[in-house]
Amino acid sequence: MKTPERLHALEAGIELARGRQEAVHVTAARDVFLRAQERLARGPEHVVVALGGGTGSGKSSVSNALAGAPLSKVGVTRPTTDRALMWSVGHVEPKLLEWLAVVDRQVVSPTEGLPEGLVVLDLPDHDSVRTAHRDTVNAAVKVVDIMAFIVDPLKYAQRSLFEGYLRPLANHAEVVLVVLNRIDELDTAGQKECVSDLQRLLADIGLGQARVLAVSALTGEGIAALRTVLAEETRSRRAITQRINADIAAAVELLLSDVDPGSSLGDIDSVVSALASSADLSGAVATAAGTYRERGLAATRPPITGLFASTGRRLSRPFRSSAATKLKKSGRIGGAHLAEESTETRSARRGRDVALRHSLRAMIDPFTTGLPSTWTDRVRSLAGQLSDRLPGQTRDALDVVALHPPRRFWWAVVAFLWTLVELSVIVGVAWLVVLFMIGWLQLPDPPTPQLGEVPWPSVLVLAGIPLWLLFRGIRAFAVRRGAARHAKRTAKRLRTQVAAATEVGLRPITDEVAAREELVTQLRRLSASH
Amino acid sequence: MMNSTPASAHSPLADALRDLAEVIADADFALAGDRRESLLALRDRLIDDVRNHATRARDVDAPLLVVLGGVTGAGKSTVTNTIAGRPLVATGVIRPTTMQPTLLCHPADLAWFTGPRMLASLSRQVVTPEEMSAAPTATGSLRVVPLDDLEPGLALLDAPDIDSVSTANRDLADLLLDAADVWLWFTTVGKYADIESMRYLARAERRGTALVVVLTQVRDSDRDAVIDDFALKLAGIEVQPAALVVIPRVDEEWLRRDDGAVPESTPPQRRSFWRRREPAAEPGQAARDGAETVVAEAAQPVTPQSDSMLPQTAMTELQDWLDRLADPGERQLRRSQTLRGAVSALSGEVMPIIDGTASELDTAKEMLSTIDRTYDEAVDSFARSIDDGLPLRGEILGRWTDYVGSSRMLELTGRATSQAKRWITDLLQGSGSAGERRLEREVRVEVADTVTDTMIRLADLAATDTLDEWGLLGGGRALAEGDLRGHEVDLPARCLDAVRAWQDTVVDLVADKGVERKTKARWMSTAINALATGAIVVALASTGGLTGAEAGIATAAGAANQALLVTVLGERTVRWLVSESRKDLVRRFSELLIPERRRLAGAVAAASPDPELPSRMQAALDRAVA
Repeated sequence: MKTPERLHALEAGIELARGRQEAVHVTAARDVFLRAQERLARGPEHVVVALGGGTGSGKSSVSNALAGAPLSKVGVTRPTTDRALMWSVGHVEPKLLEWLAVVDRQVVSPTEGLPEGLVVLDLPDHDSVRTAHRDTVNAAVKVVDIMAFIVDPLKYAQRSLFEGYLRPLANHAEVVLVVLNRIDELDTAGQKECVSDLQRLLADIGLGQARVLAVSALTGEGIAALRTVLAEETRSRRAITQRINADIAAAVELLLSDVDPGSSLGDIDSVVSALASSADLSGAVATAAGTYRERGLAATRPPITGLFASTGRRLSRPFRSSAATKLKKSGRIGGAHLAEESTETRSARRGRDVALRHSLRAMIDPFTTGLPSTWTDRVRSLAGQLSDRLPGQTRDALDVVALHPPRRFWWAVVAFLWTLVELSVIVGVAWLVVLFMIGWLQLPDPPTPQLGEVPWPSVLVLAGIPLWLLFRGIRAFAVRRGAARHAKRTAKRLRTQVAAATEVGLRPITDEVAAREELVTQLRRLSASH
Repeated sequence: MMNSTPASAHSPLADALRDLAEVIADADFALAGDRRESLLALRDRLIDDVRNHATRARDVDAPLLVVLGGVTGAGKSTVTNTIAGRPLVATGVIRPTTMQPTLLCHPADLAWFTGPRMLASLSRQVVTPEEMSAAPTATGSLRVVPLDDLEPGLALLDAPDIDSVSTANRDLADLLLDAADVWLWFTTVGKYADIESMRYLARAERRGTALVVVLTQVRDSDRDAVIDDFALKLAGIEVQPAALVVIPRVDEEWLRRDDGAVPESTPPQRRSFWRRREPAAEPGQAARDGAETVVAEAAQPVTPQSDSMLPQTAMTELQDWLDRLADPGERQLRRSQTLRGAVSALSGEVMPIIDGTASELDTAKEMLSTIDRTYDEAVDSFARSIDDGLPLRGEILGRWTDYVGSSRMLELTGRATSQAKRWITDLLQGSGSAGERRLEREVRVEVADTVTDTMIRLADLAATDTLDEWGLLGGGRALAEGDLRGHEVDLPARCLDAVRAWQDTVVDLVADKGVERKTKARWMSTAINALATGAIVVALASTGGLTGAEAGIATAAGAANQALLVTVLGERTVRWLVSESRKDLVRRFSELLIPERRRLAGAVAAASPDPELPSRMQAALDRAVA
């Protein structure tokens, strides 16, 4: 990945992390991003090297030896250098100077060993009693391309250097130089021992790859090698992007540090159940079944006997719950119904929040255990808002489900056939009555058609009554079955609807999971390509 | 002076200090949150410290412990070797060199350093000088080397550095420096302005420890400039050492200059802390040790010289100082100076511990009030849930409503003819009522389940809310992340029992009222159960009609249960019945939560310090300082 691409990815990561991860980490990443942009905009032809280190290690001596001229003051009292001094080989862009915030600067003319474009910052110490020095160093260490830490046999294992500067730069091995100065004070064996111990200490904090050079500013030993390294770096200019990449890697590591990429949301089904109970699905299903029964029975009622059927029912009407009646009337649970029933349902809904709150919390907890506290708070407050909003949303979504059954074709068929049977019984009875009246009046028998030995009116009555009873049984059975099927189907449809509404309603929370995934992917991509 | 068994005098100061150490040990900062680690470290150090002071106050004739502390590479070990007259301790270019502290003392004082009184928190091994090179190095333990050459009554301790990457070294050095009667603080030309070193010096000053600063590796040419600058820096942080001793940088230049001058200036017969050895014996020994000689030829004739030792002539200033310390009067003075300083500095040092404990108590109080708040909220929320209507399953409720709304139940209200009454009474008592009884039972079970579920969930949510709030308190985070979620195991069973008991109470209430209203019908006793079930449903699933006074009974007349109850018992009675039974249920719930509250409060109590602890500490401190 090219640096602009990486910066782009970092920016996307920062955007995702804002308000979710610890503010300090986000700010740190933001700083890296802004710094990198600035650095690339200001003088990418120059490579800036900072010489840092403890007081008395000989930063200024090394700087002078490098430049080949006594540019910096050298002294015995500690600390010597108060301000950062800068010298450059050749001309330097003013905007780079401005960016480095250096006041004192000197220009050295380019030579074979010192190519144009090298900028050296001789920093004050970081370990003396002057705290202002430390601030200067801390500011400079953030903006330069290569950090060269000058140490000496006495101070190479100093904690303030390792903990304060080297450890935070653990990702920056490519752009960290550790220069062991004053090796003239040691014999050859001592030098070797000292350098290998220094390398061991560096490896302990993950800087095993950092270059270690042994020099003596006093005798000039090793200065040529240091110059070669810096000249090579200046020509290749790769330190600028290496530094940026290392900064990005460090920021990414920080951002990834408190996110567990594996944690996931808990059981969503319990939320669906809580919402289902909050929307009173079982009540709706009972209503659906009841309506089916009622309508089925009404539709299949034979016209004549049906006249007597509804007398008992009328008595109970004033005592039916108004909610149930209205539900029956509208056939919908959703919004329209809600508006009508506002006091009743709204208050009921608030009461039902307990189960919902509980299930939402149980759902988010496994997810938030892998998140930093800011993010956890964010998800929890989202869940809190949802527990107020979800029941209403669910009801609205349920509005599309019709509880009333459509008319069934077989109702009409049954009604028609049953009517025929009823009619034939009536006709048979009437016929027999007429025949009886004729016989009573001693009139001559009219010719009666016969089915075999039995006259037709008797056939109509004798066959019709069992048939009528049979139809009644079949109808009751079929309507019951139909109602059960309808209830089952409605339940399924409602449940699906609730599940779908839950999925939509939980989107703010699933978005957080997606954001976590996206963030981890972006950041992993950044750190993988390093 | 030669007592091999240390004598101990009774000292009220020592007792007070020991008491203080014990009281401080009671603090464990479980509720201190992020500050816990640092406070615990402070506490442990303080305990060691106070115990050291106690020992010092009691054992007035204990040897004076001089600790050689300072930055790495300043030459502590080299000076130790020079004093011992032999290369006891490894020196070298590796930083830090010394990982294990070494104590030199006269054999007569050995008992002090092997017994339980001084430096007792370290594991100690006695090593004779001859065994020294063969002795295995055990990091963290103290080597005690008896040396006949030393004066009794003075012990020198070569401590590890304070400024290298080795944190173990610093911690050990801290411990040893805290135990010291006198600090011999080593720093060097390259490091004298280092902030770490300055911080330690400031600490010594603050605690009134007897302090001698040793500046090593000074070139004669830089001497005045460096000393002036260093003195200025010390004055800058208001440190006034008893002396600033210079050890010159021993190189060819110095030896050449030194050749005639310095040996003469040292009075040869002066009583000395370390006895002078025959100079002739030394070069050979140093060479035998295989140590590399920096300035071989030039040094040879003058003094013993190797990497691990300095020529004695380079240490005259330091030697003068140690000689002075070895004097019994001076020793007494230094010891009491350090003790006085340390005890008066105690007030400031114990303060963070007292404050920490006090703020822990505040945190505990805050946590307890959080429990009260969240569980009170749970009760409120339960009461509200009931007022709003619990989510009883609509299907069962519907069947019940249908039953209540049916003509059968209507007959029960007494509106029907006496014939109908008889018919119903027969049915209720006969087999025909089995289905109705089942329905009634189902309703009761449904109510019990729903109420129990709601109760448990509210208890869980209250626990979760409490822990969330604790997490925000800082000090409560450790507990918040502990295993305190959920509820007591027996809560579901207790809830179920409580709800059943409540249902029985409602039946009793209805029966009482029914009996009062005899005029209605005597036969009603058979229907009391059905009526009570109706009352239970009204109390829990009522839709606001009864409690919302502004809505009035009329608007709720659609609710079959209410209508029925109002018809049978009268509006005022129903109102009273519903509000009584709701109150009763809420009261039962808040009783159910008592063990839940106790569970969390118990965790807080277990983590919180004794409420008297800060005042006990203060009292112990006052006694010690006075």
